[in-house]
Amino acid sequence: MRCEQVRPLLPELAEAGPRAVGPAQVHLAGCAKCATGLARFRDLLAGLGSLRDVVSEPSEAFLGRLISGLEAIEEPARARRLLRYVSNERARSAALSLGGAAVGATAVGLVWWRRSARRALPPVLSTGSGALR
Amino acid sequence: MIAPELLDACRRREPGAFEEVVRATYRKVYTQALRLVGDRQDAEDVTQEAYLRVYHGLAGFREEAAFETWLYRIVTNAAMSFLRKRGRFGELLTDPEDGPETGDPLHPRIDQTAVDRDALEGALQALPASLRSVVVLKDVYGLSCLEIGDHLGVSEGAVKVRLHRARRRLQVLLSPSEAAGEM
Repeated sequence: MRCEQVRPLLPELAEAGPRAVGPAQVHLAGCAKCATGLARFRDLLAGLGSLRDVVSEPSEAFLGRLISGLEAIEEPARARRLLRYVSNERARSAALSLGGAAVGATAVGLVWWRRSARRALPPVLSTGSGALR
Repeated sequence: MIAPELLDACRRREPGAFEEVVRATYRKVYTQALRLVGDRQDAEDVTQEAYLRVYHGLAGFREEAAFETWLYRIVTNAAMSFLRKRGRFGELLTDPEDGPETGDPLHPRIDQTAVDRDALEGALQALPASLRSVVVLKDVYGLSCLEIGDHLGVSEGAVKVRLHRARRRLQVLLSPSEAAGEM
């Protein structure tokens, strides 16, 4: 390959990663000018990659505005959560009340049934004891 | 780096957890937005929108992908939506011809031979939006050409062509004399 053919490929060849040795690499090994051009593109890509960790400072008041804005969206979410909790609490109280009522009704029913059963005992037994005396 | 425990706390909507994430990341998010939209006020708007999307999207975020990568994608989407709304998305779709890489009055050269960060930032801002967005997303934030194509609504091939042009133009902007010798 000639220099004119290799130069347009330099931006892509500069990307890191394994490459098969092709005609371009053969040319680069023997051409100092193209090799320098490749090195410069590699520097460029390394420089661009390093920008990832370089930060620009926003205006001073920005963070405050950002946090306030987010609090505004968090508030309805908190209110919904609270509502869900309250609903759960209500359901729990209702279930407990129903359960308590059922236990109470059963107890009253049992007492009533036992009294009724005593009243219904056959009279012979009560008079029988008197006869023995 | 955001700890998984903090992300879990955010998902549980624990008070203060999301604010902690914002405080740890907002400079990077703002910087990415600024590189994509090219204006400080617009970058602040994009940052706010991006965090809104993060807040609502955290429940569906899977940690197989690093949080930071996910965040970069969200900022990219927010920036593209912003440009679309502002009617500036066309700038990203316009495919400028390689054109005058020398003596372009709209894109001043930066006369500096060393590749330093300030010069690079300046050179990036001097690129047309369609080239800047591609080179920023690929070479700064590491998105694939396919992903960038999805964000911009152009083919992977078109992204590769723009990337090539953007890198060559940056080289010219950073060291015109040396680049001219190669052309």
